[in-house]
Amino acid sequence: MSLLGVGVRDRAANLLDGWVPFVPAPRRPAPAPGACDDVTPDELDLLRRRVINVVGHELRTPITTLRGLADLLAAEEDPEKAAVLREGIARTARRVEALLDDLLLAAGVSTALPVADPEPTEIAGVVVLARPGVVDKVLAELRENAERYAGHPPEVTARVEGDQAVVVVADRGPGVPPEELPLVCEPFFRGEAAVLTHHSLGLGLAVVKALVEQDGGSVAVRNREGGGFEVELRFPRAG
Amino acid sequence: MRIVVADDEPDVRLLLRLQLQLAGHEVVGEAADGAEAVRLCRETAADAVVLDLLMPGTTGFEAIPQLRALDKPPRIVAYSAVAGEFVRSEMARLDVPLVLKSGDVGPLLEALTGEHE
Repeated sequence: MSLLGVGVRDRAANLLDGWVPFVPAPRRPAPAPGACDDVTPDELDLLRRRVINVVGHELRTPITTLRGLADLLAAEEDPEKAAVLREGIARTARRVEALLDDLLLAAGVSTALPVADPEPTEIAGVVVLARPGVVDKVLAELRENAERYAGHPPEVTARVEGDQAVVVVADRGPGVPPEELPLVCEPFFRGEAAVLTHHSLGLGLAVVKALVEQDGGSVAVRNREGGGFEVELRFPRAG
Repeated sequence: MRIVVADDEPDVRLLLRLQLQLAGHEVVGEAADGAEAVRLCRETAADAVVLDLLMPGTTGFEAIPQLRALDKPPRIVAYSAVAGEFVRSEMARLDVPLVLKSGDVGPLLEALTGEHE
């Protein structure tokens, strides 16, 4: 794909001031196929710069909107128009709140979830052990990803393997370029196409990984035969 | 001035519509992506379009040449939360004024009317 005479990678790399390309560090051992591995200490500086860039840019739009709507509200005398402005302010504030929740969840700070022990929760006919709210949040993130990138809701299936419950969330979208697969669970990673077309912190799969691992599970990602992308979640099985 | 606003965020469109109306302009269409912006500009023969650059589907970058090819091309103002070196140089090359999203609507109004050029 080329646009304005510049390749996608070049455009993505240059869209944001100081944008840092997601190239695995040379010293980093190759991750297991499809595994979502952790960011190494060597990459902390890169990660810090990514955080500043992505958060700064993604917060600019809602904060600009909040300020503008608040200014208009202060001068508005018509009650009906004022109500529209208040609703816009409330929606935008909730959006900022959701961004911050995801930021904390991806960092392993679960202030967005109740502090509670895992309890039996049903997914697609299989009962897993997870803290209240985790399954709903994880499935919501994966559903949003599928609808955004594949254009349709994902299929969710589950099976039992020994003491684990294996949940697969799969779509029939374009999948992920193979070189991006080991990176998609990293906080703030955004695929090249997504940088151009979607506002996002790039935290969806990082949030999923953090939540599932906090409950003693694991996450793997892969492209599907015949096209599409799937996320495999392994939870401790209840009972 | 008759203006089309294009942004994938509904509340940004709401804000732009109200700000532009307050400044005495008429918002003749709201688009959620670049293709819709081109269609609305064609249908309304708008004088100007406020164009977000990062949108799903047809991006603002892709919409610019299509807008320029219209029978009555509108004045284009790029309105973006992202203004890195690439964006700045591309908009300069295309001679499209670039306004960084901010709470102050003044720079956007100046860009629409061509002040300070």
